Amino acid sequence: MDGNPSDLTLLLASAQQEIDGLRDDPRMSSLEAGSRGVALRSHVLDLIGAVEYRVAQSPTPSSPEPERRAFARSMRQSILVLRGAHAALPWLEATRRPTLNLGSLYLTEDCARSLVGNDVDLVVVPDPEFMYSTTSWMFSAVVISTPGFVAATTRRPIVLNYPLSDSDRLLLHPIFAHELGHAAVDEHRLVADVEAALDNDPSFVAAFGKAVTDMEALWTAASPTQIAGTVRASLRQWIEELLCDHLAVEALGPAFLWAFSSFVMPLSYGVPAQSHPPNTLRTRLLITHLTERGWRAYLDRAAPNIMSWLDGIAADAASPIAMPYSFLRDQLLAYGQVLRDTALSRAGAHAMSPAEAEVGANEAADLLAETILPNGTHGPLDGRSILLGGWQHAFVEHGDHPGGIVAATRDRQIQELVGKAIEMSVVEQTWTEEA
Amino acid sequence: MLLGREDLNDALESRRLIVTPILDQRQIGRGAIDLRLGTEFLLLQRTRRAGLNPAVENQREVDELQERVVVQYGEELWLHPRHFVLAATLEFLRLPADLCAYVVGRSSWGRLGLVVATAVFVHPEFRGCLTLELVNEGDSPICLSPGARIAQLAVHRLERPAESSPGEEEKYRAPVRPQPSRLASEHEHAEFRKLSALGDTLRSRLG
Repeated sequence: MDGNPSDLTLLLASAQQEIDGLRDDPRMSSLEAGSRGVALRSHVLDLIGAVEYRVAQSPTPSSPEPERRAFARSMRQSILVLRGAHAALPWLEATRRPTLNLGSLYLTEDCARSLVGNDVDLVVVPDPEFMYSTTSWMFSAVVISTPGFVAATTRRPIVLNYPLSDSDRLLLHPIFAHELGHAAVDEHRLVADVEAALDNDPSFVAAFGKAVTDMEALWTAASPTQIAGTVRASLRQWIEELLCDHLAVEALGPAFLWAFSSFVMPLSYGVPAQSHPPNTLRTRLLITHLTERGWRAYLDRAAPNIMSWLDGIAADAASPIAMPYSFLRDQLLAYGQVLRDTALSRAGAHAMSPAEAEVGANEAADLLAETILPNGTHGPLDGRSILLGGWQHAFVEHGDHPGGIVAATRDRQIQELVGKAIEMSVVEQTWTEEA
Repeated sequence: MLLGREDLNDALESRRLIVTPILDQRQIGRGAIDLRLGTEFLLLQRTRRAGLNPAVENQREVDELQERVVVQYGEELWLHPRHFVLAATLEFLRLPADLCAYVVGRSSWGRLGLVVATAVFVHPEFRGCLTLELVNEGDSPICLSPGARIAQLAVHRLERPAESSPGEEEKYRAPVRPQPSRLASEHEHAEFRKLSALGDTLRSRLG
């Protein structure tokens, strides 16, 4: 039976081995204050500290059986998380040898500060799978469920994964802003804000009740409570995904729409999933958002054919889909303003506005047309404008059509110039500020 | 004619000559512009191969021998005696058709034993970041920091502008990173093959 003396001996030895393995690894060596990865390392040390705290409370062989079994369960959970924490070692290594283009790294760090807050430690690492994703507070399951243990980490560690092949595909990197949105949503409890706004509206409450009733006929084996729980879980996940899109739009403007179209649209069209809304709906809400924020004229000037193609995709958001997805879609379309307002409120003064960005983007595009580093003629341009100018020029080079939007992300020359220009823009601004 | 400070400033202000960013106006000296070290380096990896023969290797094999390393601002790369790395200038340059340049080391670094460029000529209409061939010829390791003023660009005016002729392709088009040798490219291989054929023909004359 688990929790017997032999089992406890095994668990304590195993936990110690995992702790030693982590602590002795050279990649866990201390980092200079302020360096990337400091909070991530501290979070791993908190995990180790929490497990050691648990070990110190280990029962004796004569302790009551329920106590020993509970401890054994807690140790098994700890060992599982400790083993998972080995994933942090290559992440820490990546902070010392970044593979991501420096310009993109700086831009992503700016996005993290504007969307999540200043207290973040961003670690960007290549992912063996061809996907963008994010995690933060990855080992907190053990840390926060160890009563009496006080964690030392206060800054949020965020790990952003990206496909290694995309290291220099700057035009796709606005997807990072969406991924950072997940950390922002978690840090500032934005889904709960949106949900509260919906639940305060009697018409939403009535629609939700009707959806559950309608579903009862389809899911005959499930109780109304189970159905309501499932629909609610999907609603929250869809809200989170859409909020991340809107946050990315506030952070980077149309560059996110184009990156999304190039990377996400080839993966799925109008098929909804429990965790993700259909891309037709996402496109529609993105265009509505950009239009509301004054970007429509710019979008039509920069790539009219691509906008016409995207408008067609957005129109398909109304195509029939099964329940409960049609309910989710209809409600999130109806309450789209709540999503947009929530994102704008979070981005605050960091929100990108067309009036400020377009001049810089045009200048960057003009410089690129002459194969000149687009960091600005009379002073450093804003990195976000440079990115936008990169897309503008890419449409000129590769065509204003869906094929062009993909070819743009394969253009090494444009993206290297854009990355270098963003890096130089940050270096020049920082140099001037320090002077 | 070598351009002095006033001519350099005129050329930079009119944007005929582009050197960007210039972080400090003091980089523009009496007869040259100081250039800074960038953040990317190409280090030659240890290999089990016999060596490098650009006439035989393909470009990919040559590229794979070099490891790309990013040294961030505030960090260092130590160059040991007789070691060789490729780096790039922090600055992006564009020269018009009537200007060419030479990139040379700064004496302060030279006195430590550092050679910054062996291929020193920058041709008219060049655009991009210059690749620097760094060698430590001294006896003591040298610490390299991105952003350090490491080289200088002496700019000359041509008597007649040298526009590129049609079909004259640039091997390195607006690079922003250190570029590995392109001697193993198909274009250069064609030249090596021609040389080989020439050798065969000349040898057969004797036999």
